Amino acid sequence: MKLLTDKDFGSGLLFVLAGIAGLVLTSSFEFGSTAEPGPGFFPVVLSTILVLIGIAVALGVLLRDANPISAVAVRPFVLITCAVIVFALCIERFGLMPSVFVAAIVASFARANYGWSHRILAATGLAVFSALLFIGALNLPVALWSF
Amino acid sequence: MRFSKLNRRTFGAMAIGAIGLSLTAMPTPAAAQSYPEKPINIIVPTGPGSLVDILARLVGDGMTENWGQQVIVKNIGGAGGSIGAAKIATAEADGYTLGFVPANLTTHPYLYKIKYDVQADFDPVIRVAGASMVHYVNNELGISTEEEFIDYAKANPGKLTFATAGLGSAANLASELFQTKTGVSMKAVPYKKLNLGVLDVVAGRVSTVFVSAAQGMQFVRDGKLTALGITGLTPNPGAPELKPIAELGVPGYEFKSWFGFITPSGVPSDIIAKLNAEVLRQTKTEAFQQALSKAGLELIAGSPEEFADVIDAELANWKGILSK
Amino acid sequence: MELINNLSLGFSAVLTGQNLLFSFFGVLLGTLIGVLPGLGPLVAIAVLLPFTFGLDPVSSMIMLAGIFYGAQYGGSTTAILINLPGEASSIVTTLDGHEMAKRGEAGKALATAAIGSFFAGCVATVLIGVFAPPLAELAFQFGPAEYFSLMVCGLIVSVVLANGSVLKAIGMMVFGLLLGLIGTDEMTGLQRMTLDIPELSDGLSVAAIAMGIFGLGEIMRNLEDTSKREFSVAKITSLMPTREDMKLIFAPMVRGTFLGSFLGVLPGGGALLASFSAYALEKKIAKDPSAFGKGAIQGVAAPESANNAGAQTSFIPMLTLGIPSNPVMALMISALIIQGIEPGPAVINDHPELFWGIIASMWIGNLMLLVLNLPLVGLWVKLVSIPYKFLFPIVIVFACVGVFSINNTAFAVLTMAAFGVLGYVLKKLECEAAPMILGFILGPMMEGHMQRALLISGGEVSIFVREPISAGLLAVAAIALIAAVLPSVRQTRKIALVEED
Repeated sequence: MKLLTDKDFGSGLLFVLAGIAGLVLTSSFEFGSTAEPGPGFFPVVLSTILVLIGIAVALGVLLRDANPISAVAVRPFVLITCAVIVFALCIERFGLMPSVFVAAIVASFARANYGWSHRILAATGLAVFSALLFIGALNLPVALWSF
Repeated sequence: MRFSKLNRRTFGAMAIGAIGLSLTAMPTPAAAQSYPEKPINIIVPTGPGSLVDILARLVGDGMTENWGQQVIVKNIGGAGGSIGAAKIATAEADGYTLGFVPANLTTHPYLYKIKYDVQADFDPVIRVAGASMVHYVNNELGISTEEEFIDYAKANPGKLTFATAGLGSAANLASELFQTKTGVSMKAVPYKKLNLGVLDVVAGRVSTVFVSAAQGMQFVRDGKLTALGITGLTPNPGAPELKPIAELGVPGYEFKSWFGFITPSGVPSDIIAKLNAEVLRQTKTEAFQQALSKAGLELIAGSPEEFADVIDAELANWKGILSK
Repeated sequence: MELINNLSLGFSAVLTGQNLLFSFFGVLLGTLIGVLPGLGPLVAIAVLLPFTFGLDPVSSMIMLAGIFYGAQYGGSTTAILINLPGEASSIVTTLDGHEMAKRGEAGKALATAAIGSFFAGCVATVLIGVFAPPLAELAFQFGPAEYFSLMVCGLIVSVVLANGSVLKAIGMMVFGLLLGLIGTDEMTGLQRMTLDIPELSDGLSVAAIAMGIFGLGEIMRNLEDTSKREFSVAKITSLMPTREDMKLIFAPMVRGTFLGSFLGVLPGGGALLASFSAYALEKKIAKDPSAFGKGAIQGVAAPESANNAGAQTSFIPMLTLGIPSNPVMALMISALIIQGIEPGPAVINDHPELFWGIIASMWIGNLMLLVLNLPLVGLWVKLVSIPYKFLFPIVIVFACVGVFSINNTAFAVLTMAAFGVLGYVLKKLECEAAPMILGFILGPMMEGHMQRALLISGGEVSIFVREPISAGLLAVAAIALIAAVLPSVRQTRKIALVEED
């Protein structure tokens, strides 16, 4: 358990997983030769190196004291990710202002010390400001709103 | 393209102003009179800054000015333009979504996994401009004619390399066609941006390249490259002294790139006619003419019918060459 | 005098009312976003990129370049006054700059930063003017092997100079290279690692990745700290450094400028590495290294000169080779491509007014920064006191709109969300993201150059060491890597870099 929360062990694990994912996704491509490297050549070589580095980094844990990961703040982590996802889901369907408004509301929950009135006021202000700036001044090809 | 061959002919007549009735599309003159009533989107299936994109913006800006409705250019690049083309195919056929596409549209069915049918899902509006390319070869090879080039290639199989901008690019298609017609075999060296490829041909790292007059003739003038011929059948304004490759020992060789406006299929024919006329007008502007000559392009500006014929012919042509 | 002719061409291109206005707008906006934590030049450039369609190439580049170095500058201001680096390259400035401010020498620190930046700006302008044309000539000699080795060299340098473990940095670099390969293979047109998602066929968006990791990841980390942020805004007293101070800072300024200029040219170099390395160098050669971190004026002068010099010279590989050394330069390349200009060795001959115009605008921009910033310090301080709870939703929204408008697809925004998550994880794991981003940018280019080099040579790997330029670049990379793992260098590197956290 101690191992799992170690920074270097975590990094090593991340590298190994990324390398394995690379290998799984690209090993079916032709590897080729140095004369004619195929589409699998570079990714397979890189993935293999990444797995090896990952193992080395993770094993480094055994050689020194544990270096535990600091506490994770779940609330901002989840809510900010959600705010961005919500924006992505809304922007093409509903246009700029509604997307900004909703994203700002969701994001505001990442911080506890907001009142509802503040929240709505700030989100509305941001939506209007975005409309003025991005569509009014910068003329970005995004719909203002559409339902 | 929901017009049959026969209808296209009537359609052409309509385009020049005659009131014609098409059997498949009931014209609704009222629609065309009030069109456009809201902003128009032009989907360009490449990233910003490409020649297609620049031309689309020029036309779009002119239309905005003339019609008083905003014309917005949207770049949807990726997968040789097939992602953008898919967006055009599935857009509403009300005349408010247009596409401005390069010639490789007709290679999509043979190179990419696509869900649209190039003939059935688009209505051609106008083929705007096009150009033939020039066949350049590195000086150090001591080759000065197409015939020498072909002889050299046959005597040294697998030795020659050609620069391309990747699968489906004009440079690649012109080279593939050349290999099919002459029976020579060359090794492709793909570049993300062909300008680096041209530099490598200049430096002698790569043997040959098919690219526009604008991108290569300066090196010919500097004595660094030799130009052998042009890929089209008519003189290229950027290299008027060069002869068509078809007349230099490769009969039947013809490759020309083009750019044209299309819509999703089902747009009322009078709106198509209005769009055709408007784009035609925009191609007459000084800015557009300048952009054309800078890029070494010739104005085509034909009818929707002409465009449809070209698409049909090219689809048939690439089918034989690319779906091997 | 070729240089004078060239520079006067540049100045005549820049000294129009319109271009001066764009330059002014750029540096002002740049300073503004540099001052605001979380909003980097990347977001500003991303948002403004579609807008530059309507401008001519010179104006567009002048404005974007202004944002870039304006942001460096704004970042330093807040670093000194409130110990909050507005921009990553100002991190080292907090060490001694804020200490000086606490001692009541905020004005002096600000002036030192301003003078150092201006000095570096002037020297870098001349250096670019002198060295860019021969470098562009040299770039004409660059074939696939040379490009490949140059990128290897840049990646290794970025690894060596990264914070923390060398092995982890190499891992991050390889991870980035691998991410860069997602999309259509140049050679065969095959879709690699795209999971059949059509939007991935052109690869992941640089802007989305960079903003996810640096923007969102940073916000998540900032919000971890639920305690109210309180700034002790240092009072500004006298601005001008004394003659003594000038004597003290002159040598560090010169060293910082040249080190920064050199690092800026390397792909993977740029402002961030420049400031860190300059600080490390000063500390190493100082008579009294223990003064560093306690308000040594040299510790402000050197990195501030270096980051500005590095920011400017990083235009060289971008303009002459088309190689971006960081995400901002990658966006600059997009801005040029939007204008129909393909960055590469031909730019300097084909578009001399653009090339020299950018260089001239750097000097003018620096001058504007000098006159703009010191009087406006009060305003910037006010801006920083905007509560973070209002600021972070703005940053998120700007990042979303910016990423969306560059790519015109919501998928890019989702990509940004995913990389926000990854960015936070990487922060928790203490993996530095810079080598990964550079790897991502260079990955597909490197693969292409490697494949072309091998195709052309007929599969002889020795081509990379047979070509003299290529061999030289690989030798530099090898030396840098060996140096980084040697115990003695490792020790200094640790001392120099670890304390910056």
